[in-house]
Formats: sequence, structure tokens, C-alpha cells
Amino acid sequence: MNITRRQFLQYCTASAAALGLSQLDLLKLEKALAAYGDPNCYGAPHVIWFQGQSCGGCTLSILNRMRIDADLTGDGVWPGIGPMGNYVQDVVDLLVGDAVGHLALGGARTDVGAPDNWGAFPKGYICLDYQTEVMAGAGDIMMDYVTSLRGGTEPYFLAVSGAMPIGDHKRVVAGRPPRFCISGSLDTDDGDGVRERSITEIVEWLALGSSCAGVVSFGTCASYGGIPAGKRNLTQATGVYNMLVNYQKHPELAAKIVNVPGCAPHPDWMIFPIAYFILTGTLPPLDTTGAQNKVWRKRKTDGKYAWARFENPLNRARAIYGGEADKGYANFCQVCPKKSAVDFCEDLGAGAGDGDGTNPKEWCTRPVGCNGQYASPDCPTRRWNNFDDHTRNNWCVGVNYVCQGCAEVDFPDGRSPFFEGVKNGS
Amino acid sequence: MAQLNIDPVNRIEGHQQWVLNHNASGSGRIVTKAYVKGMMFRGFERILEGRDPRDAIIICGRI
Repeated sequence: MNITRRQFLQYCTASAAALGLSQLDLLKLEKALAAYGDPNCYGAPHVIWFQGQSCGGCTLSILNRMRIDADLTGDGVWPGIGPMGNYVQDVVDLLVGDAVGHLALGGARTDVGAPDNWGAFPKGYICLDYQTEVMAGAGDIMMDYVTSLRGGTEPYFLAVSGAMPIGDHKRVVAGRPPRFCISGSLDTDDGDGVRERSITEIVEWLALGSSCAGVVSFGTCASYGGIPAGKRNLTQATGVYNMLVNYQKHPELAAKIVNVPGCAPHPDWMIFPIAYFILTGTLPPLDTTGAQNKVWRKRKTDGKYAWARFENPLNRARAIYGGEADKGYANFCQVCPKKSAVDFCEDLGAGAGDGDGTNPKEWCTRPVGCNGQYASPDCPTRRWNNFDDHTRNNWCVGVNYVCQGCAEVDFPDGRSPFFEGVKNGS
Repeated sequence: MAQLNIDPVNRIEGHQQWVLNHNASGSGRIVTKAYVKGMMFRGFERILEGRDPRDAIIICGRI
């Protein structure tokens, strides 16, 4: 999309009250836009995204918010999509929408054959430098680029999706090659030179970089372990916070780690910490109550498998995952339209939808396993699959399904079995 | 025998490496072996053991 800096600031001024921005914030924004002057990045903070034991869902979710076709001719029209300017509704749109070409470019490497008309390329506000699913380069040229970013002076965010296998961390510490999750071949300054590196080594190396402004864990897997950390998993998977602070012993990183749980998280949730940082220079207010992270491993004392338990702060943004004081409600049941339903649904498959309230599918699904009473994010109000004009679309409960509790610390084991519920719905 | 490693491969979901072993041949080189390596393991089969079978609907979607 093609929007001038002046238009962007005018828009922000008009929306300032709605966004909760003060005049001071707007001044900072103006300075921030001017300060990020790196020509390679079109004026945007760097984001390096590495994947651990991930399914790729977090990437797909955030791609819903980004466009791959750029407005290359600068006339405000995107191929096949139509004028973007009319549909902009909030700052997040502006911030993310402008990042398009960087996804296609794989980090604004100007020596990988940029066509001539990219001189008219719009300014990007997130420079997604490295992301295996969408970047243009592969192999050692991208590893060299990441190494140069880590050693450089510009601040970067380390975005991580997917779980961290502690099994690999233990192998590396013992001097053996990792084998559960190799995310690239590079030199992480440990004396071994260029060799296959586990995601555990790469995340530790990048998080310890002096230019690292923050570590954002996308998804329940990177936040708390998620599905790869389910009972009986063989890799001792866990989240990024648990690995960096408790296993790799870097407590000074604790304040820099923001968790964005969800399976997959809403793209707005993922953009929020980075957008907040661009606007204010700090990470957003976090919910730091403690919760248990569990790691499934073979116990040294008797050789049996059991959970290793760690009490870690949740470190998730309060504006999205908070309680009544932060977003107006603490769990889904407080705002669910099915709360006043006539009866409780005993069978998800029964009946056909006709909208008059007599259909079992329109009744509260707690007896069949809805986890809404434990769920913390803002799905009922923000909803999912939103179009550019932000019509509030659908969400899991709204399509007559159950809430899986996918953003909670104990997903999936604490939410399983998913289709058994509280029978009397009280 | 020289080796060309492309690690990681881009534009795919997941972790992959391509390895080519090649020898000199005349004025060029000949590839003698080529490998595609999958570099990530989670063990979903083990994670699913012992659960309610309907949980597979939720869990396997994340493969």
C-alpha cells in the first residue's frame, strides 16, 4: 500500500483517542519513523523469525495479515485486491500492511535481483529479515545475513515459533550432535564453526545478542511447550522462556521475553508486542502471574518418565489475555452469546442450524467440552478471519464448536479429553 | 568429493536440508549422491498414546 508518512501521522492523530495514544506518543512515533533510516530496510525494525518444533500455523496466521503482492507501481492499487487505503481501520493495519514486500524479498537483500521499479516501494514498518517459509534466499547466504544482523548495531526482535527440544540442548552440552530440531547450519560462536545447529542453540545465541530488543514467542508451543510438550513426548519439548531462563541459565533475559500463546495465535495478538514497541519503545504491560511449565523427561533417580515442573511467569500481554481490569472480562463465559441459551448441548453432531434457538448446536457446549470458562484471550470480541474492514467474523464457539483452551499454559494435557465436559454446566 | 549443503531450504513449511555430493569430471562436476534431509522430529504417535481417541481431532491438526 502506498501511504505517505504525513497521511500516516494524520491518521494516527485522528485515532489517537481511540488507540489510547497521547500527544507524547505521537511525537515519539514521528521521531521513530524518522530515526529508522536504514536504506536496506526502508525504515523498519528488524524481526528475525526462527522456527523450532512448529507446525507452521503461527506463520500462516500472521500471513493472513500481510499481503504478498506489493503495490509496485505506487498508484495505491494492489493486483487483485483493490485499493487498500479505504480499508485501513487501525494502526496495526498500517504497520503490518506495509511490510509486504519484505516478505517477498526475504529481508530486503538488495543483491538478490530486485527489479528496477522497487524504487517506488512503500515504506515497511516491520522488516521481516529471516523467516524460512517466505524468505527469498536459502542456506548459507541467509545464515551470513543473520550473523551480520546479530553482530550489528540495529535493534532486532527475535521471533520464535515452535517448541524448544531440551533433548537437543542436553546433547549439545554433552558434546554430541543435536538431532530433534535442526534449524540451520551456522556458526554460533561456541568454537565448533559452521555445523548443523539445533533451534536451542540458535535461539540462545540470538537472544544473547547485544542488539536484541526482545524475544517474542509466537504460539503456545514457543510460550509454554504446547503440543510437542504433550505427555510421553520424546524430545523434552518446552517453551522459550523455560529453556532460556531455567535450562540455559540466562535469568537476565527474563524481562525481554514476551509470550503470545494461542494455537495458532490471532495475527493481531502477534503483531501487538512489536507494534507497541514501535510506538512506545517498551514492551507492553505483561501478566506476570506464575504458572507451571512441565517438561516430560526420564527421571535420573529411577529411570522412569515423569514431569519436571518449573514455576514461570505467564509473560503475556494484559491487553489481550488479561482479566476484567484489562479487557473487561476474564473468560469466554462472561461474554458468550450462548450463556443465556435455553439448554445445554449434549451432542455436537445433532440437528441442523436454523437460527431460532431450538437447535442443540446453538446451546452452551460446556457438557461436550467447551473450555471457555478457562480461556483467557479476547476471541469473543476480536474474533477471527477478519476482513480488511474488520467486520467481526467468526470464532470457535460462534461456529458451534468448543473452545479448545489453546492459549492456556497446560494446553493440551490440561484441556484433554477435549470433548468431555462438565455435565451439569454449572 | 565435495559437498554442497543448502541448510535451511526456504519457501517451505518445516525444516529441510539439501545435500549434494559432487566430483570433478572433465571441466565440470558430476553429482554422485543427492539427499533431502528432514530435520525436525516431534513424535506425534507417542504423544497420542493413551488419550481419548477424539483428542486426535485436535492434536493431529497441528502436525
